[in-house]
Amino acid sequence: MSRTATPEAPHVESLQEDFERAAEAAGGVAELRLAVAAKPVRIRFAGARAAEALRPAFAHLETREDEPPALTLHVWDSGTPRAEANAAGASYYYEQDGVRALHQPASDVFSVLTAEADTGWFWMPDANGLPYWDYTAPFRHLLSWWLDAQGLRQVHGGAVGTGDGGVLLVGPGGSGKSTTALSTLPDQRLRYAGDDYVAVGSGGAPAVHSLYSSGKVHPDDLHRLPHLEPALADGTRPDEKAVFYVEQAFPGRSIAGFPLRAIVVPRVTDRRAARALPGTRAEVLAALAPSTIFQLHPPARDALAWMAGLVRAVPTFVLELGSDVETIPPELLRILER
Amino acid sequence: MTTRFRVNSPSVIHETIEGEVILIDLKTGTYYSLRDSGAAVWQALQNGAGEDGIAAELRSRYDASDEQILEAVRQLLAELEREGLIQADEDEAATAVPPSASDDGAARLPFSAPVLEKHTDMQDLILLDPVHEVGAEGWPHPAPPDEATA
Repeated sequence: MSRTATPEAPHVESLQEDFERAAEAAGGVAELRLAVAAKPVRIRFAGARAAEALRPAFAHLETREDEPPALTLHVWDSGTPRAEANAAGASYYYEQDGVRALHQPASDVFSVLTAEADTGWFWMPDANGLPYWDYTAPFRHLLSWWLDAQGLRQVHGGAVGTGDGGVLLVGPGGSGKSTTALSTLPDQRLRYAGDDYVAVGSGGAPAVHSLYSSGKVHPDDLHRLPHLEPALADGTRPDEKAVFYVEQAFPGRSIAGFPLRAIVVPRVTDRRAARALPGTRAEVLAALAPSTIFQLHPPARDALAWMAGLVRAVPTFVLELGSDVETIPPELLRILER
Repeated sequence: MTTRFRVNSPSVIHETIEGEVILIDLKTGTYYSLRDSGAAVWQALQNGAGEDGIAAELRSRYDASDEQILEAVRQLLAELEREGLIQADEDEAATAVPPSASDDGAARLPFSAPVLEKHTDMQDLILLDPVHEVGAEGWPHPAPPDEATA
């Protein structure tokens, strides 16, 4: 990484002015109140259009409580399509005096969080023109930095379970996390906490906190999850994953969190029925840690030791996935009953 | 006196869990694992042992000739160095670390040469979305190309 002359800190005052100007032009602020990891979070959108685009993934965390927020995010766009010329290249991370900022050229979005981790800004060129992953996991870096300040961590994993406890599903992209998590939606006994990113707290008893009730599936895998067909979000392009908003399509089937009972590594096999086997802690750490660490900006050096502690704290399993996805939920329930 | 080695911090992070070592190179996105005799080498290296001390540690645990063990240790250390995971620490003499297992041969395990398992599936993620600090012209402008490829 290059470390050259110290650039000037982002001027949070001018960000706030930009946001307020955009809100005024867009007809006012649309406010979303959430409970994220049981803490009040307020998201202030400049105009209803930005709010409508980015709120569906948070539908299961919406609350009417009016407590003073632990985090307030300001979100606005310029209503201009993102420049295709910027569509590739490095993300730029910047930190000074505790203020953190990230520019991601793939979506051209800027994220800024104050040193106190209580106020953030998220600017995008066009609220309706983001890559699909920005709708399934909005403000992921801002939330990750904020979670760090709350003593929690964002991990790359899905999670399903019941109010009494659930499993964390870990592994790199394509390992079967989404298929496993989304396979549980027809099963009335299990609830959905995410298929890609969740927050985990390890103080005392480890617990999972849901961030997004979205899901995404590669179009080639859709036929294995026929219950999702009616829930397909509009506008999916053939080259993108199909996006689902679980709370909209399956009301009441999402859950805000649960105690962590086990960590499970899904593995695609040529079996018919799914089968859970004990997994070594080392293979579970290898499935969880690299993909989590490399999705965080900046990669957190202490995250490996923290995840090793988490892996030592709960039972670990490998879930061999078969062609019959209906056999997955009973295997997950068997893990939870152990 | 033999050369001591040290982990290439801060770019390399590692953790030992149930006797297996997971190593991650934060710069390249490559991660590695070491088991059995490989994990024993890593542990001895962490304790400050040099090549001879590491070999002595392995001899106390495994049933193999001195030459076989020394050659295996040399090969693994060279591979770890080649991969940029460790480097020779010229300023530090290796400490004499007493072997942890008994030396009477009764409890020795069959020896297989250590294997450094290398996983490169995260490199795509790094190539697709590398992270750089901002350049001299300040936030939010990206650094010029020569810095961007750093």
